[in-house]
Amino acid sequence: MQLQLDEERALLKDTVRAFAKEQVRPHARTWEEQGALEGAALDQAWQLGFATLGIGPSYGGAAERDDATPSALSNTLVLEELAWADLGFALAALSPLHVAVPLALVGHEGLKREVLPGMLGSATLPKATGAWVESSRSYDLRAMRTRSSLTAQGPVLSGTKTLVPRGDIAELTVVAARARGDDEAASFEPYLLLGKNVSGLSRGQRCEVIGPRAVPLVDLTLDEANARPLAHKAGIAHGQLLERALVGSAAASLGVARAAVEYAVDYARERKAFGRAIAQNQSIAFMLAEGAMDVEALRWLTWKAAWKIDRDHPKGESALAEASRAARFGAELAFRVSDACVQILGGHGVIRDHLAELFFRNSRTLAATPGWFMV
Amino acid sequence: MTTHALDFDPTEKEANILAFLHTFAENAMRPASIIADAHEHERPQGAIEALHQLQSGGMGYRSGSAVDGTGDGSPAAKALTSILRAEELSWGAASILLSRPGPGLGGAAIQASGTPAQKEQWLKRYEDGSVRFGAMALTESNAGSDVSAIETTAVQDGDHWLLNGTKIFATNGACADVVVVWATVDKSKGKDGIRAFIVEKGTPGFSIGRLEHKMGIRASETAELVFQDCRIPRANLLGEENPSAEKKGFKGAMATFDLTRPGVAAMAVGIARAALEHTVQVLESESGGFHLGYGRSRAHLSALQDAVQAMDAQIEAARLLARRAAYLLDQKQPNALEASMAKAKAGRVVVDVCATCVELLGPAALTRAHPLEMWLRDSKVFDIFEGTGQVQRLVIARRILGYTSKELP
Ligand SMILES: Cc1cc2nc3c(=O)[nH]c(=O)nc-3n(C[C@H](O)[C@H](O)[C@H](O)COP(=O)(O)OP(=O)(O)OC[C@H]3O[C@@H](n4cnc5c(N)ncnc54)[C@H](O)[C@@H]3O)c2cc1C
Repeated sequence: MQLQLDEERALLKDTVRAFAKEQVRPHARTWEEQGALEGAALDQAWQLGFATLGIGPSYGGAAERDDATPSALSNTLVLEELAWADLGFALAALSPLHVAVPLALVGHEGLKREVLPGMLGSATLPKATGAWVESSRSYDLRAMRTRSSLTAQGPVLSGTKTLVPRGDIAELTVVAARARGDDEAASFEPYLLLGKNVSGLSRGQRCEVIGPRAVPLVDLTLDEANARPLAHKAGIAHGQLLERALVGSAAASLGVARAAVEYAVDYARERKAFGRAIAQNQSIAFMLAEGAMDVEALRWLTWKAAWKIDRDHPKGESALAEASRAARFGAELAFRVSDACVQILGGHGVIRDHLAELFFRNSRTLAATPGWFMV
Repeated sequence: MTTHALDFDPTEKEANILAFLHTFAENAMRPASIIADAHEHERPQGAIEALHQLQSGGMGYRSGSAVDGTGDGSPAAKALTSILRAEELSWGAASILLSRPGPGLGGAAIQASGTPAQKEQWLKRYEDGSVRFGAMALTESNAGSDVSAIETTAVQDGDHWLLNGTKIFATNGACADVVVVWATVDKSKGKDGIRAFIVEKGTPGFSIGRLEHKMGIRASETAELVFQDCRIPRANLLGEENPSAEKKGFKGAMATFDLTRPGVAAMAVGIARAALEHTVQVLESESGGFHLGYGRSRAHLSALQDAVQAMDAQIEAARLLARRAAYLLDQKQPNALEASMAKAKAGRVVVDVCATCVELLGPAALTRAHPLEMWLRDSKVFDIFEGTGQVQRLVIARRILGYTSKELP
């Protein structure tokens, strides 16, 4: 048993952390208010090169061998750090993983060669994303309503996806859909929409969402939209992508939760009331202690799930229990500590000068949106 | 920093040992714990003897040398190894594991702050093949969480110390061969005046008071220890006598906890796991069966599935915190923060899980038809001893806020 990151991954985490702290966090409020991220910062994030890790040289990746696979653990570390800085930024900056990860894992060889080198070689953040979330109350990774059916020209997709990050400009969009006629429990398949103007695809307005607002989140309506099957074989992608999506959700929760606890700790040490720092009251101190404790627990739940995916998926085994635990623990925790963070700031907590209210809004989205992040 | 990749699995050898311990826990511990629960103050001798055999056979929980703390002889992973085993055996019966032969908490204290000669003198005997116990006596009726309030005194008298005072709640206190007793040598110095002393069973002036009647963990002995002009050799002062190291006395108590809290957390996890497993088995055996529904959104889960999933995630969270705290200890890295996190988390989780399981299985679970009501009674003390949940939160809060105990009392 080794309960410590290896050197290489620790370095990756530190690198992204420094970037997130210096280049992202200071702008989080401005971007949120403007409803737009800064392209240059997104490009810089992309140039850190995380998306090329675990992808072979023939596909434009940085790995040594073509049979390499992206590490859920490495991507989890990147995601935690970016989500710590700003959830909206993380959604945008990591949106290409929606295309890179499934393609590298299970992609159809022709499609991999057609898409990956160009995308990974791009100097700017590729216009690539994933369309997973659906607006139904019963939205669930295991009960997609978007359907695929086969025509003479290949598969077409019908249904509505919502909250698609950068869906307004995406030129490569992975869509999760179920084959027509499948029952509730049946698996989904990943499909790729190639190009900006796909016949049958229409882009809706930007969603007016509780958070995050810095990144455009849009509806995509698919009416027999032309799509390419992403996987080289039907039925092989579902379990892997489902679990990676759940771990992605957990990692995003981890980032937001850690951010909220740290923010509250800093504030509670500074803020004085009744002649002492508010943190010197146990009711405040204990909230912080519990938050820190559960953030630490979530870190290990998340890393364990990611580790298991990396180790067991190649053997055809599942990490569903681990991924599922981490995701649900994370979604609950992120909101709980964000709520505590606002509480600890008192009235100032609801004022938009502080990030606390942003954590509160952003964290509430995470339980409802598995599929937002692909690791 | 390490080049080894993250790995959450025990080694194959360890996994085999755990599988063996599981069978042992199931057969030699769990049934005995149910009997012991109904017969308080009758030691579960059979199970204790079996644990002793197990430890002597090298398959035990911190078997091997207690003197140098090498556990099962694999220096690479002693704390971690020991907590993996503690979870497994506590799945069987935490109350009996608390009664396992060995130097116990007193041994942990001697290991944490004893001199090499003291370790040799006081711990060696635990390797002589006989069934022996050890204990630690810190708590008094007016001093529990606030260790600095202890009133037991130690006064130097030539080549001896004279101990006076009454200790309560000492686990294995009555059966212990060796008790580590905390006393003040100078009340005016508060916690800096506190030192630990090694007292042998049978020392004149040392007697056993009442044995407590408890809500749970009834298989575990909880004793009052009375010291009346109890005269012990000067060399029985734990650690160096050197006054400049006086602070070590209190720090020694705290260092003991860095060692033992992850273990206590693992025990709590073992009970919680037993309760949830039992509950799921009952649910599965009902008509219609039961499955957990992993990976589904909560809108798709039944209330039962949701509750079971939540408990399952909390147990795993506590388990991983305990393992991480033990791992750090093995790496000789500071672990006080993580040890408190593990203890705080597991202490809470075990009570919540047992209580929820009792609720989920309905009226029958309130009776001895299920072991759940016993586990619920057993669980509560895990949020209390070795530092209450509140004390753990204080430790955590002080560390993350950078406060001293004066700044955050
Ligand atoms: C079965 C059992 C076995 C035990 N075994 C041993 C043993 O082997 N050796 C030994 O020395 N002791 C042992 N103990 C004692 C145990 O460690 C103490 O009971 C425990 O530390 C709490 O002390 P207390 O009971 O005096 O409670 P108190 O300290 O009186 O605490 C009462 C309540 O006040 C809270 N509280 C106290 N201080 C603060 C604070 N600063 N801030 C917020 N809340 C606070 C506590 O959390 C608790 O909720 C055992 C106890 C039991 C029940």
